[in-house]
Amino acid sequence: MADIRLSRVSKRYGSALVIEELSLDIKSREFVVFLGPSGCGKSTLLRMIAGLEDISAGEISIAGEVVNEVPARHRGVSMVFQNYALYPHMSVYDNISFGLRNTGVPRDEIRRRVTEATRILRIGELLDRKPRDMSGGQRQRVAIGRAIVRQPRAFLFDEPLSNLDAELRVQMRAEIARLHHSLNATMVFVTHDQVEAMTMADRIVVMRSGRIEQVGTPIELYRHPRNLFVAGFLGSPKMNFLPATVGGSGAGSLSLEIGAGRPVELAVDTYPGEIGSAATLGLRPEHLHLTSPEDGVLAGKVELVEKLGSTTHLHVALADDRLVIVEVSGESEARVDDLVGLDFQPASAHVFDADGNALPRPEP
Amino acid sequence: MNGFNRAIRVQNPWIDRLILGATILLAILWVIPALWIVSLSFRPNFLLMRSTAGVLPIPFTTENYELILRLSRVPGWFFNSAMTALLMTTMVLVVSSLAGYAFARINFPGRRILFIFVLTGLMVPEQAVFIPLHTMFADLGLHNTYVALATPRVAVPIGVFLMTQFFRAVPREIEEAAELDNASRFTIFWKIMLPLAIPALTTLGLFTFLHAWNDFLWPLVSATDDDSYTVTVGLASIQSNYAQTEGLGMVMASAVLASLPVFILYLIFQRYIVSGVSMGSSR
Amino acid sequence: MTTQELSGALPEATTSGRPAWFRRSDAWQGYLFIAPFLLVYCVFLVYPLFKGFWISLHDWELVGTYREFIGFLNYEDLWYDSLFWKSLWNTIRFVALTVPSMTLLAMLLALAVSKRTRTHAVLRAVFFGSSVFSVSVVTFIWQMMLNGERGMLAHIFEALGLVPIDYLRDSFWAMPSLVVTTLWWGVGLPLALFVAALQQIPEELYEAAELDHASRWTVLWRITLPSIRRTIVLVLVLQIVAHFQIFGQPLLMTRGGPADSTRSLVQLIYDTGFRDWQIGYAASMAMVLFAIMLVVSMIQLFLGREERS
Repeated sequence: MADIRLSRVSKRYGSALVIEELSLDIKSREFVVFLGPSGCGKSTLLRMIAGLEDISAGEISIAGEVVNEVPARHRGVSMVFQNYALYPHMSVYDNISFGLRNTGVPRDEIRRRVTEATRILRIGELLDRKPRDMSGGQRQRVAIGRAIVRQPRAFLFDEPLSNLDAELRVQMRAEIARLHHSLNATMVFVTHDQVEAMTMADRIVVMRSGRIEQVGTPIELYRHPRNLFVAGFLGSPKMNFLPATVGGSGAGSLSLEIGAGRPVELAVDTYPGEIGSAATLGLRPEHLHLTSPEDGVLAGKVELVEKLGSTTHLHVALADDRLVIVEVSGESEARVDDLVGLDFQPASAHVFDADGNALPRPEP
Repeated sequence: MNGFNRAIRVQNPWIDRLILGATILLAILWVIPALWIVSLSFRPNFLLMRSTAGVLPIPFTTENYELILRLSRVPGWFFNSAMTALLMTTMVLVVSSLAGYAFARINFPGRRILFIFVLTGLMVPEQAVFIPLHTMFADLGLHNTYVALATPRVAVPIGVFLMTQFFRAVPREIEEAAELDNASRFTIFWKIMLPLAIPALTTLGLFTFLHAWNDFLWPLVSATDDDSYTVTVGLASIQSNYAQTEGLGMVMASAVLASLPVFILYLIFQRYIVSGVSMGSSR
Repeated sequence: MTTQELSGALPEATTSGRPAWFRRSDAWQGYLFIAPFLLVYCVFLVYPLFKGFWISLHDWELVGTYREFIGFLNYEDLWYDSLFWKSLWNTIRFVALTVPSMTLLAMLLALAVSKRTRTHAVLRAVFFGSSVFSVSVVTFIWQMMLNGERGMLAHIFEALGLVPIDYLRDSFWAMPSLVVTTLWWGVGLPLALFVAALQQIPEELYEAAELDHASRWTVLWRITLPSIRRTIVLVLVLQIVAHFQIFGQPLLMTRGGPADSTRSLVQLIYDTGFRDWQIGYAASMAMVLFAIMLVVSMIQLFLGREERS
């Protein structure tokens, strides 16, 4: 298995700079997810690693060897495409073995590898079928099988689950995770779905507009997002953002004025600026809990109650009409139009300065 | 589905039935001319010379066909048409698929300009070039050959255009997957693109075959020996003489035979032929 | 098709991000793939086009080696050639008679048979079927139908006690006979185009009209026809270009008569070049024909572009 190193990689389409001086180290056998909204460059980056796109500047190395000038077929990587990209007129067996036939692998070796791959993916009975006679999930497995038999140094996945329905997606997520475990392979996975990223990744690379916003393990990114973008991208329902102004600061602590409630005292390592400067308070829905309107730091009226069975989401409109979502475990007794107060553990709050960067806070 | 009829169906079913009835009547009238000729071809020649009245082939005989097949040049012409059509179709399919794939998927310098250069050729009618083509082949002494009959029309870019459109529509990822699968460009073309292109190639092939078989102006000026005629030109040469009192039945039989291959192909491949002709015209 | 459409018909521009190594071999591979076609194209279409013009500047005989450069004299002669103008006029008359009637007939038929039912499919097959015959078969069939003594129409007239008309030799009926023959032969293509266009009109338009209690006429004028406007224009242009080239029908059915009243331009070109052996003169006529058709095609491109804006 190989490690992949990206060193100040840039990509230009004409005059548009799509990826800007991006550097990243992917360790051997790691499962890395490129996560971001459409157009952030994650697929482009993946395709540059594969060799399907030019590299405008910088270097990409696989297993220590610079591969900028190396053709895709010689880079030792396999790719699973979003639309499966199976050869429509070939059977499953021919689809999977096509690459091996082109490389002159002997026939019995081909048969051995194909049988093994289809066994792992449980599609052994489909060997003679054509892609059009199979479901989306089956086709995706054939695509993965095709990637496996080439015994690549790294697997690249370009949003492979986007075309599957919700239930199938959950299933395939688990399969791919299991595959990673059993093959112990380097895998780079591109998606816009943060749930996929959180569940499968060893590390997540969050991208926006051609740059890396933050790299870290799922929990790291969830607990310590470095900026507003990452904080808002991970977690569902999204983190609640409340605009605030700095009320006062003292040794290791900060007072924030929130328009809709009482001042909040938080322990911080650094200060966002002088009194009166802007800041943002970030509160995850599960960190808010209901209390009486008089006791809460924030107060508001319940606009909507969404019952999901295991949790309940309450949409609460604060005094300044800002909407905040509160996640309550189990069922809640709150009803629409109830006046409620909201409170939270200060340690669970996030603070962002005027530029959207998170302020480091001491561990609780 | 034509909503024109459907939407108002409930309001006025009688108008629909009237239209349908009139159309069926027209369809019956439509086939009568052709059927009449077929019918007459089965009547004895000497009776036809006296009178062509009547619709049914009574008394029935196959003598006209026997005569044609045994004694006339028609079988030879038939063979010429077949050879020419097959040659032309093969050439068109080969050059069009190669060029179509290149225009669709290979990024070579000057591709855009060359494509426009090729497309503008669609505006050149055959009458603008048949005279100089004639002199060219005459200088080389190549008239009355299959090559002369088949080659000029291969230059018409409609095939390239159709194949380019088709290959454009093949998803790029399939090619990328093949690249990663270590396939060379020619392997991709041969093992993936061509198999996928079989429907388009069938349409183009039938469309070209039809055109080759029915071609008139060029074979008329190029194949001047009686023996080298294609069946279309040959039929034209003998029908001019029908006013004379011999062989009316034979001319009928020749006409039927001349149409037979194309008509059979039409019956079998109707879908392809219709779609090919429409595609070819709407460019 | 506009030039934008022409080049838009081509896939995306060069910087689609092909890796450098592939791009180097792209060039010669690309040329290799298009070489066979380009060779045939240049030799059998481009070169003859220029050579045709060159020939038209000569007094050139078909057989033998007599060739004399005379500049634009052929074109001057054309200008004063009454037979040329007659043939051109005949051709225009033919186009003016055939194109509107063909388009109308095709459209009416299309409106009647474009449902996706078995019956309609059979009917469509019948009307399209007559287009697969070659010109010699079609002209033979209709010569037999229209002949003054042996024709089917003649027999019908006689049965009704009327005097049969020899249509192809009648100075009034000769041209219309060619038109009818061409209609029978050619309605298949525009029919197919109209049927395809009609079948693409979304059902929802008709359903909305039904809910709005629209009458059959309203639906036809307000929904159906506007939706196929582009196809109508396309059909008209294709027809004009195609029928300008009419050759087989006058050659084989009326021989250009009676009294040159049906002689078409292409027929004149053929006669001049291959019967009278004056291919220089014939080439000049061919160039004029080409110019006319080019103008018509340009108009279509222009119309297409207008529509888009």
